[in-house]
Amino acid sequence: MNLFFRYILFFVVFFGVLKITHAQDVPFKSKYFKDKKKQFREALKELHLADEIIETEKDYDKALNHYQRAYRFHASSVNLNFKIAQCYILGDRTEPTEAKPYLEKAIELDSLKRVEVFYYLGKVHQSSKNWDAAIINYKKYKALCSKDEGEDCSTLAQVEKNIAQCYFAKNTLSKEKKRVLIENLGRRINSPYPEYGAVFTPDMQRMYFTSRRNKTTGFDVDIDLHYYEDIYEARKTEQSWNRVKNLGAPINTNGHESILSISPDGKKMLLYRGSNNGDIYFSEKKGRDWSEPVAMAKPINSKYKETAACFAENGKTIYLVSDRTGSLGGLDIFKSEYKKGKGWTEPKNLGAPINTIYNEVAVFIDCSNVHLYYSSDNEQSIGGYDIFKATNKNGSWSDIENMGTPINTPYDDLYFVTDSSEKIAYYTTRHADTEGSSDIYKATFLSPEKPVNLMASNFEMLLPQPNVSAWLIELMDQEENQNKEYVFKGMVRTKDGNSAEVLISLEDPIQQMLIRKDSTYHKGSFSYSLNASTDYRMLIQAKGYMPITKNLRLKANTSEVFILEPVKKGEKLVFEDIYFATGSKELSADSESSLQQLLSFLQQNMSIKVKLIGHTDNIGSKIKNLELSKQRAKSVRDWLISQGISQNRLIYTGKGDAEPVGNNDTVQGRQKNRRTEVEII
Amino acid sequence: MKTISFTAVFFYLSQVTFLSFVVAQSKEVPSTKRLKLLNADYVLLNGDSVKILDLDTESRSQIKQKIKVTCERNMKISQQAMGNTPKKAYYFAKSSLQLDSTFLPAHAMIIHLFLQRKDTASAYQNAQIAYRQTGSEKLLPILSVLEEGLANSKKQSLSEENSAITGDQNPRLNYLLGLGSYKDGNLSKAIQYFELAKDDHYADFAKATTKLMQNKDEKSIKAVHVFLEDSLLNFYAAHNLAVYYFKENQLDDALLWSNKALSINDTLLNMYYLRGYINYMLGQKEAALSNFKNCFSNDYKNAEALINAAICQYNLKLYKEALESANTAIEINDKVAENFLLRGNAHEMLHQFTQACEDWHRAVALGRSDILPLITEFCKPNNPD
Repeated sequence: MNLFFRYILFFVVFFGVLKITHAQDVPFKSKYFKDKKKQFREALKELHLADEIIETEKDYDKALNHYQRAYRFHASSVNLNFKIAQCYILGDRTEPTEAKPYLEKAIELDSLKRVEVFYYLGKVHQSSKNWDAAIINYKKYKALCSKDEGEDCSTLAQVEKNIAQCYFAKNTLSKEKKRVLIENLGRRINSPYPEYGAVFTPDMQRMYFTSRRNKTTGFDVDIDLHYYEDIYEARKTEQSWNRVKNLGAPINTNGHESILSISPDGKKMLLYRGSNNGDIYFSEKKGRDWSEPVAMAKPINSKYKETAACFAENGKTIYLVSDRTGSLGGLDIFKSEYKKGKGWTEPKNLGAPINTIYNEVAVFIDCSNVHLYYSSDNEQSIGGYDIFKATNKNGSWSDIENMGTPINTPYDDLYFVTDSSEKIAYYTTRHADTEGSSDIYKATFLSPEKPVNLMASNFEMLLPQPNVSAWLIELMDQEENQNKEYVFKGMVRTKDGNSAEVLISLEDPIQQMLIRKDSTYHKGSFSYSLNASTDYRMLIQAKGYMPITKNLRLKANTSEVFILEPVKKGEKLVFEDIYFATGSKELSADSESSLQQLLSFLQQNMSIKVKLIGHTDNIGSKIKNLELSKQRAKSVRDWLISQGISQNRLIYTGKGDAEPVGNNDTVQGRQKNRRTEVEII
Repeated sequence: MKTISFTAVFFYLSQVTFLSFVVAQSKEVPSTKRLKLLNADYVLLNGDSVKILDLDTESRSQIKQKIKVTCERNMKISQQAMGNTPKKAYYFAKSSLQLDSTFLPAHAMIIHLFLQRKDTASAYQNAQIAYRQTGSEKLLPILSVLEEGLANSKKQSLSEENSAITGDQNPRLNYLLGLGSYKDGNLSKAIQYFELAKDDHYADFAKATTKLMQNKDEKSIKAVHVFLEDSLLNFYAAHNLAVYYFKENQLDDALLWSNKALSINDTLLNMYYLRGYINYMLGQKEAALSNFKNCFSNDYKNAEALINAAICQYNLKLYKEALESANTAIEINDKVAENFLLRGNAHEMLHQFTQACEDWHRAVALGRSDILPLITEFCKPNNPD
C-alpha cells in the first residue's frame, strides 16, 4: 500500500472513531436499545406517563419524577433533557436554575434539534442574574428562530423584552444594591402552595392574605391545577404572626376570593372574585364579622378584568387595575374618586410613565399618599414582574423607581405594601428559602452600612519578665550561697613594675574578725579560695608603701593587679572603723582591727612620723566636739605608744566637726564624719 | 504576718534557749563558765550582759559558728513551712536575722513571703533593709523590680543607679535595664544591655526579639526560631513570631504562630485576643468569636473583647447575642463610641429602630460623627417599632 492510501485510511479511521465517540442525540426508539429491550420498555412507559401528566394536569412537579426515571435509563435524548429542564422551570416546587445542566446537555447533543433550549437557557441565566450569559442565549435563540422556518417564533417579542430587561439589570440595578433585610414569614403563614397579596390593618396588628392552599373552601382546583383562592387572617404576636384562620363565609366561597385592600379605618375590605371576568367586591366589618361581599358597581367594575384595587385618602379614592378601554396595553392602573352624591367617578388611567404597553398590577398607595407602589413586567424589570415606586409631585406621578435588588428578583415580585414609616414592607415573591411556590416576605429597609471598628489591642512582642520569686528562692538556697567558692588571684606590683613582698590580711568586716594573714614570697602574687556569700576586707601592706584596702564579695573567679604607692609626706590614711563610746574618748573594742592595721603600718615603716587627726560629726556643740576630737586622737596615740611606737613619731590634733566628708543629716554621713585620719608628716 | 502568734513566740524563745552554750575565753571568761547568748550582740556572763565583741577572738569565732549553724537550721524549718504555714516561715527567718542580720537567705525568705501576700510595699521595704544590712549586690535587681512594681516615679530608674554601683557586672540588672530601654522604644540601647547581661538565657532571647523588631529580616526571624526548641522560651518565641507576622500583615503566618503559641501555653489571654483579631481579618468570624469569648470569659480586656465578640456575632447574624454582648460592654465602659454604634446596629437588625437611633446618636456624641449623615434620614421621627 503506498503512502497516499495509508494516509487516506488513517483519516477515515480517525474521523470515524471521532464521530462515534462524540456525544449525539439518541432518540427513544427501540432500534437503539435492542440488547436492553425490557429496560427500554419501562423507561418509555415512564416517558409517556410524564407526557400525559403534562398534557392533562400540567403538573410539572409530578411529571418530573417520571421523566427522571426514564433519564436514569437513557440520558442522551435531546427531547428528554429538554422536557426535564422545562419541568424545573415551570414547576411550582422546583428551582429553575436546576434546569441548566439539562439544557446544556441538550445543546451538546444537538444544538439545532430544539432551538428553544437557548431561550430557556437564557431564562435560567436571567433567573441566576447572569445577565451576559442570558443575553447571549436569548440572542442565539433569536438568530436560530429567525433562520428556522419550522420553528414557532411567537416568543420572539418576549425574548426582545427579556434582552432589554437583562441590559437594564446589568447597566442599572447591578450597580446599586439596597440594604434591605428580607425574611420569609415562615410556615405559620406560608405553605407549599401559593400565598400572596398581604394587606394590613393600619395598626399592622392584623394581616389578611390570599392562599391557594389545599384547605380552601370547597377543596376544589381550578384549571391551572391550583386550589381556588381564599382569604386568610393572621394576628401579630410579639415574635411572629399567629392564629392563622380562613375567613370563611361569607367572604370565602367555592370560587376565587383574594384580598385587595383594607380601608384606613380597618373596617372596609376590597376583595377580588372571579365572576364577570374578574371583579372588585366590597365588604364591611360589622362587629366581629365581615358582611356579604358586594360587587362594586360601575364604573369601578366593567366587563373587562378588574384584578386589583386599593383604598387611598381615607377611603375616598380607589386605585384599581384593569385592562378596560383606555389601557395603554395589558393591565393598567386607574384612579377613581368618590364624590358625595355622585358616587365613584369614571376611573382615569394614570397614564405614562406609570402605565406602559406591558402589565401594571398589584397597586398600593402609602398612607401619606405620596408613594404609589405597583408591579410591572415592563422592560425596566429584571425578570417577571418587578416592584416600582412612583412619587406624587404636585399631583402628578413621577420619579418612577425600580425598587431594585434584593427586593426585586428575576421572578415575579408583587403586592408590595408598607407600614406608615415605609421602613417595613411586605410583598410576594419567591426566594431560595420559599416554602413552595410564591410566598409572603417581609422587607426591612435599613440605614446605610455603618462600619464598626474592631477594638484593636496594642499587640506587642513579649519579653520574659524577671522572676523575682525565683531569684529569692535562689538566694534562700543556703547550699549554693554558703558553700560556693571562687578563686581570687592577686598580683602586687610597685609603681615601676617590680614585685614586692607584702603582708596580706583577710578579715570579716562585719564580725571584725581576722580570717587569715599571709606574706607573699613569690613575686608578689597570691591566690585565695573565698566563700561566695561572704564579705571580706583585704588589707595589703608593704614596707615603704601605702596600705591598700579592698572589699570583696566574689561572684566568679576573679583576678586583679594591685599597684603600691610609695609612702610620702602629705598622704593620708582614713580610718572610719576606730570607734569610741558615745561622747567619750574611750576606745571601743570594735576598733581593734583598725588599730592593729595602723600599728602594723607604723611597725613596717619605722622611719615615718604621723599626725593623728580626730574628727567628729555635728552632734553637740562645736567647742565640745573640737575638744572631743583632740581627746580621741590622743587616745589613739596613747594606744599606739602602749603598743611600742615611739612617742616622737606621733603627734595628734582634733578638727571637731569642721571638716565633714559625709552628710551630717544621715546616719551613714555622720558615720563617715566620725573618723580618724593618719597623715604622713 | 506582722502580729506575732503564740506559736511563733514559742518557736522563737526555744531558739534563744537553744543557743545557750559554753564558750571558753582566754582572758575574761573562765573555761568552766557558761555563757548564754542573748542576741546577736550580747551574751549573759555570770549574770552580766557582755558584748560579744569584747570577748576574745577564739570565743567570738565559736559564737559565730554557732550562730551560723542555728541560722541554717532555722532557714531549713522556714523553707519547709513557707508553702503551708507562712507565719511559721516568717518567724524562723526573723529568728535567724535576730542572730545574724547579715544572713541573706533569711532576708530573701521574708521578701518572698511578702511577695506571696502581694504586699509589694513591704517586700520592697524589707529588700531595702536587706541590702543595707548585707550589702549584697544580688539584691539590687530585686530592688529594681520591686520598685518598678511600686511605680515609684519619684526616682529615676533604680536599675540605672544600681548599675552605676555595680558597673556592668550584674547580668540581671543589665537585663532589667534592657527591658527598660525596650519599653522606652530605644531598641539599640536595649540590645546593648542584653548583650551585657551575658550568660543570661532570657537576655539572649530578648536580644533576638529586639533585633527582629529592629531589623525585620530573615536572619532575625531565624534567631527567634532557635528558642522554639527551648521549653522555657518556646511560648515567647511563638508569640513574638505571631505578633511580628501580624504587624507585617502576613496574616496566615501570624495565625500559624498564634496557634502554635496557644498550643504551648493556653493561658495567656493576649494571644487569644490576637488570634481573634487575625481570624476576623481573615474572615473567620466564628473562630474570631470563640477567641474573643475566651478573653472576656476570663476577664481579659473585658469591654474590648466583649465588643469584638459582639461585632463577630453581628456579622454572623446573631443579633440578639450581639445585643447582649454590647449591653454588657456598655455596662463596663459607656464612654466608647463603638459600643453604642454596634448596639445600635444590633437594635436595627432586631427592628428596634428607636433604640437603634438613640444608640447611634450616643456614638456620634462620643466621637463617631462620621455616621451622622448615614442616620439622619433614617432616624427621622415616626420610626416604626
